[in-house]
Amino acid sequence: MPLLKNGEIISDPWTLIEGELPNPLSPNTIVPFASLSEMDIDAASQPLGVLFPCDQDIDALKPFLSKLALIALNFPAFKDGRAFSQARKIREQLKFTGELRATGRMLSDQYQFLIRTGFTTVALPETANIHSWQQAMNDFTEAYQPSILNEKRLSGLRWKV
Amino acid sequence: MNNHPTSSPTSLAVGRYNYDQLDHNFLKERINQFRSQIQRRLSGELSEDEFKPLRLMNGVYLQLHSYMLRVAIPYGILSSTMLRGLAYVSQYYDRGYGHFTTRQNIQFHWTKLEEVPDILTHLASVEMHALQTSGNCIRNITSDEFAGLAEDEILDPRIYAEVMRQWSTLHPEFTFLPRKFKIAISGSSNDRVAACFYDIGILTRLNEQNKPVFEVWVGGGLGRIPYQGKVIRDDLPPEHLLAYIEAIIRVYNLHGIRNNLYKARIKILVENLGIDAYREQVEKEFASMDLDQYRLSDDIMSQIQKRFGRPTLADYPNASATLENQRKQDKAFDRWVKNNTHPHFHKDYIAAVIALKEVGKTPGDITTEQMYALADLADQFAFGEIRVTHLQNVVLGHIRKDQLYALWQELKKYKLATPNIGLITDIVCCPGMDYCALANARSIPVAKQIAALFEDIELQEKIGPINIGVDGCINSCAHHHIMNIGVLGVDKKGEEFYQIKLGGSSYKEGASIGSILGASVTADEAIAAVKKLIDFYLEQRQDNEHFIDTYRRLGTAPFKEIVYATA
Repeated sequence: MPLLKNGEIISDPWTLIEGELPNPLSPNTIVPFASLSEMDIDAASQPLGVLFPCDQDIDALKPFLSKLALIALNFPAFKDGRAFSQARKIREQLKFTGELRATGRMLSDQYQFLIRTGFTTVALPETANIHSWQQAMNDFTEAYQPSILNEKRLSGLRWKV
Repeated sequence: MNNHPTSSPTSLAVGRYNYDQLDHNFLKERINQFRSQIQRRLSGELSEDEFKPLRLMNGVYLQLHSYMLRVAIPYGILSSTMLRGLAYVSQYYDRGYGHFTTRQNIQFHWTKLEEVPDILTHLASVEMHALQTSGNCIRNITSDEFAGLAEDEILDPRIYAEVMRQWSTLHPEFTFLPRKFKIAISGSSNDRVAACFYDIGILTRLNEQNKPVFEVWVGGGLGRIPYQGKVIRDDLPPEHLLAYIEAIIRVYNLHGIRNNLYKARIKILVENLGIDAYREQVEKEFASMDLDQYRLSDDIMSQIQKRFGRPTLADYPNASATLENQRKQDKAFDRWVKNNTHPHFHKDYIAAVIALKEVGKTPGDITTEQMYALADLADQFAFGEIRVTHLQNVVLGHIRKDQLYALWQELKKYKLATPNIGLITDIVCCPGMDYCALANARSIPVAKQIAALFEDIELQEKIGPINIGVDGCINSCAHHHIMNIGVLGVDKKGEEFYQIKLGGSSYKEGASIGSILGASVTADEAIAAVKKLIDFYLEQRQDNEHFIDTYRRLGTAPFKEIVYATA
């Protein structure tokens, strides 16, 4: 699965484990949130990632936050925008500074929205047109809202993207 | 933010936010993006399922017969230049007319998809767009047609509507909401925007310290299951407007129902949680936000307000007397002034409501010729400004009282002087099955036939204030739920039938959702039923009681009896 960061395809050091977790857990493993709450997090290998579902309150991440290097959020459909709000809350309210990864079904037209709500990487579907995603990064040079990136205010309600 | 600042240059088109280079650049980027989205659809990179929400967010619908383009008219204000731009689109890309909607948009029903980017480019040249006029995002922000000129206004709602327009434009977090999201704002406590029937409705009042604060309603809406909204906050300082509505919408985005289209509006979430629990979540979200980042500082507000043009209103001490004389000398003019004008805060000016409700015509339709004529009349009489109402009419807002007669004579030439505002032929009507892919039944012919029954203007005046809405489907574009008489088209095994509702009322004071009168009937029976209802009301009313008051006094039963006794 191609991983996109700042418009470039990068290699992905992380592995998503679903189902039974191996013991011991190797570093750079992303585990489903349900497993995270069952495992002994202090004994887990670092760095550790979690795949968090779009229908839960992000406050549930609080007890694990200091151990997490990556949080992956899911878009079950491109029309389902819950993860945009989750991402912002994770950045602004939980002050999480690690990798925030978008997974699931997304359109390239959403790339700037992903970046501006706090995602750093996007796990693209194999079929994605990478050229469209790279172009979409530059679709807009200004926006009418502040974002988690603390962009420069131009004037009024306009920010430089 | 009061009604009378003089800070903006008079050269700007009045009553609206005038774009600067940044705004122009943004629109250009948006059009380029849409062009490439169309190309990606044509190349097969985007499926129809993927393309549909993208085109909807650009106002492009697939109707029964062709693509429809819905163009935004933010807070209902047009400059004459913008109206000429719309006239041009109607002339060269459509069939010689446009259709004003209840959300202060205009629709072109006969556009071609491949021409849409060119239309958008033309619209952009007159500072217009079709952004977010559809789709599951924050839609065009509406206000009242007398914004900035009404005597009772506390602040100018257009400035805040523009702030919300900008903020909601391609909002990175809120462009893929569970469902569409509609906001209306009034600068007065007198509700002229149907605030309690919006996802968010905002009214303005003065608090104990004499400072303007917003009363925020949430969770109202029409459609399949109509709800009256509830007050979530009645003392919001205007500077926190964006933070507060962002908190409201974030809670909705995270918790709104997404697996059932009919339950996905915020009204269902508010209803399910209860307003107190919803408020608690919103307040918690609001408290966690960096309010400074969202604060509408005086500096930001003044930067935006400065781009609004304002008319320079001089005193004309003889204007009122001149108008009174002209009214005495011309009965037809007097009638039009009585029915079709609204007071202006400046005593020498008046607002004229121009009916797009001539009997025999489709409510809300305006021809190319009428658009060009209105643009010229706006330049000549009204500082080049035109307003669009949520009842599908238009307004020229600042007419010198001593020039009103000359304006009326010009309007007559273009069939724009129908004196029926607020009367029974001022019917609100959706496009229905003549155009709309969602409709179950036709609405336009039914509205036209009802109007035809009451063509006699003296009869209309005898009947007095009443509103009728005719909808071709449950989506309620014509607001049938909150009209005194609502007519709703329903489909029964492929045949068109109509349900009649009575007793709806749009505004906060006396707001109510109409009750279904009885079984649905054929179009002819529905039209006859309206006639029977009105005849019965005229028999039963006491003094000059309005239709709604007679209905409320007598209740549904006798009205039902009248309609169904012989049916």
